[in-house]
Amino acid sequence: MAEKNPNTDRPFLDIKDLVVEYVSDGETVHAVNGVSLHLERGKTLGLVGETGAGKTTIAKSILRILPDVGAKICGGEVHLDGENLLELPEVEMRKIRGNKISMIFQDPMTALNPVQTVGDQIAEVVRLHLEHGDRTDPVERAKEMLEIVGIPAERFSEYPHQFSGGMKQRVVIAIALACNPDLLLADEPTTALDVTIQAQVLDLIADLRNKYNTAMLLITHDMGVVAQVCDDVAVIYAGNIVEYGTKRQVFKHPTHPYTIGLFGAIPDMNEDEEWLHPIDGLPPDPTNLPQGCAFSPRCPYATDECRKEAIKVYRTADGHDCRCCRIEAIAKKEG
Amino acid sequence: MPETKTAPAPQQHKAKKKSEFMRVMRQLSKNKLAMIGIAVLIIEILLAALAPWIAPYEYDKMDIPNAFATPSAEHLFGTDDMGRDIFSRVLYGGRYSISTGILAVLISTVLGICVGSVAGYFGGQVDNIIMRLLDIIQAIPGMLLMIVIASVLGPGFINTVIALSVGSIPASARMLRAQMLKERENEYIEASQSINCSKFRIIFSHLLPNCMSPMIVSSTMGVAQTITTAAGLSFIGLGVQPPTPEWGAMLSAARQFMRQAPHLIIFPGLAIALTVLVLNFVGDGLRDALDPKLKN
Ligand SMILES: Nc1ncnc2c1ncn2[C@@H]1O[C@H](COP(=O)(O)OP(=O)(O)O)[C@@H](O)[C@H]1O
Ligand SMILES: [Mg+2]
Repeated sequence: MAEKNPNTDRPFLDIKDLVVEYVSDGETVHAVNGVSLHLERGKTLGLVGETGAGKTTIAKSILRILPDVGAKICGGEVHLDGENLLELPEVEMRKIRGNKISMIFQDPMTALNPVQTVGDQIAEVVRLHLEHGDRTDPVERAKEMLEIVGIPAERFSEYPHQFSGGMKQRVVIAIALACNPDLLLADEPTTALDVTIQAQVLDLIADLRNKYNTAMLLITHDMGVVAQVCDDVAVIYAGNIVEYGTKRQVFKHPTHPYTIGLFGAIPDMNEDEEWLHPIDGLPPDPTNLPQGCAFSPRCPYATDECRKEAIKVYRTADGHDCRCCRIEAIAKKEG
Repeated sequence: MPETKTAPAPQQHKAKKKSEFMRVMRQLSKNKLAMIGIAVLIIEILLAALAPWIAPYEYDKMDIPNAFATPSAEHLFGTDDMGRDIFSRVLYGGRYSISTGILAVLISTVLGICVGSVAGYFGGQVDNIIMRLLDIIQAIPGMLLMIVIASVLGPGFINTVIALSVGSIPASARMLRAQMLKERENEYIEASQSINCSKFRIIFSHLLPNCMSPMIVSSTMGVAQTITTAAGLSFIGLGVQPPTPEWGAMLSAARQFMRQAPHLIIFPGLAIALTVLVLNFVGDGLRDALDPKLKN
């Protein structure tokens, strides 16, 4: 928690009790159920959880690009730089999207328009955010961005299909960073890439973030990625943050049974293990979440108390947050 | 591109737009069939446009004693049942047939694109309402719909074009909608939302260019079909009025003499077939040229 916005006492990005629902076929999908997060300039927060946990939904809520039909932000606040984005009129939001906040998408194969040159696609975001009287030349800026992400500017007029997956993701990153955003939402930026390219792209993202002091929300399901780039970690399960702390706290003392399970599912190179230890069971049906703790049906430590009512957030011994009422019992057993 | 490097900003954008157009043209020029198609089409259009100066006879000049004359030096394509020169009539007929065909398809495609993209992009209730309206139009047999429209509006060139186009709007709208539903699932659509493209921009500058290939192919084929359908309208007295020649109308009028004087049907038939063929060449070529992935 280094610098704070001078006007308010708020962190740079401050999400409070965000609730998002989807309605499809008459059923309500409880995608995000009261998520609170905060992030300072220049820091990276890793948002970790399995598919369907609501990670992408959170990112889209921040940008307010949820689908018009079927999706609804039911409550909460998203403060950026002291402004509640959820209350901003659409005209104001337009100035923010792609400019102050930008997003990197998961699948570089489809995140670029196949019939537009890559240069045009980078120039488009610059052109869309040219202020009156701004003399920036979108084409020049696009070429500069290509060079910054490590692609020769001569390839400006090439089409996405002429690029490899890793290079496409570089182009996507160039688009995201072309307007010098203050907040970067990276939604599984490396999931679709193979491992060596993954490392390169992560390095590039980390480099650029440091250079421009951008705050980054890094969404992933990969603890390895978190270890490489993040400062803080939030573990999300069924639309709820279950564990939240600095990387050090969460990696040293994982406390929530789900986090412990996640680490158990990573192969340990130091030990000669025959089997991984995946978490038993399946994620809950988001249209019909279990009462009390959503993880309780899969949790080896669950008691009746867990299934009664919504669980509060507890402080762990090293001072990070954990949404589990059995932390003492677990600490004894694991410790 | 080296030539864009030194130019100042505004021209630069124009230069780029032009180079995109040039790219498509370059691609197209590599396609022999398409080039033949374009050449033939231009010749046909020129012939039709210059018909009053080229045609050896007036299209409606009757010469009953000389009816059913077979092709000869005097009458290149022979004469019809009233002794009119078929060559001249085919030349004049091109004016109506080619322009009705192309115009009607243009109108129905453009309207189909607008309706289809709104339905496909917005989905939900909007989609539902639009699609049910299209269902209603499609529930009426095509010919019947055309007859109704043509008889309400009365005969005449523009009215015929309108009658011909309304019936094919639903088909092109549906095709575009289906294409759009598929295409909008791609992440680049979300990505363009995230950089603050307006809905209008997303539809017209991102989605449509990716949905156009099947539309272009089906439209070129549509022109051919429309030319023959126009013939049907003329046949029942609702399209272009006799003695104005029109390929389809010439065909239907000649039907009864098919056995005795096949040349009455062969020449307008060939004109239609040739036009259809070259339009298909051009359509195929365009589709390939518009797809950057097929760049040699
Ligand atoms: N457009 C939508 N309509 C209905 N349900 C949706 C929609 N988008 C996402 N969901 C549901 O919301 C939940 C969270 O999805 P998402 O945020 O994409 O998860 P993640 O990114 O963590 O994989 C999932 O259960 C998913 O099925
Ligand atoms: Mg996701």
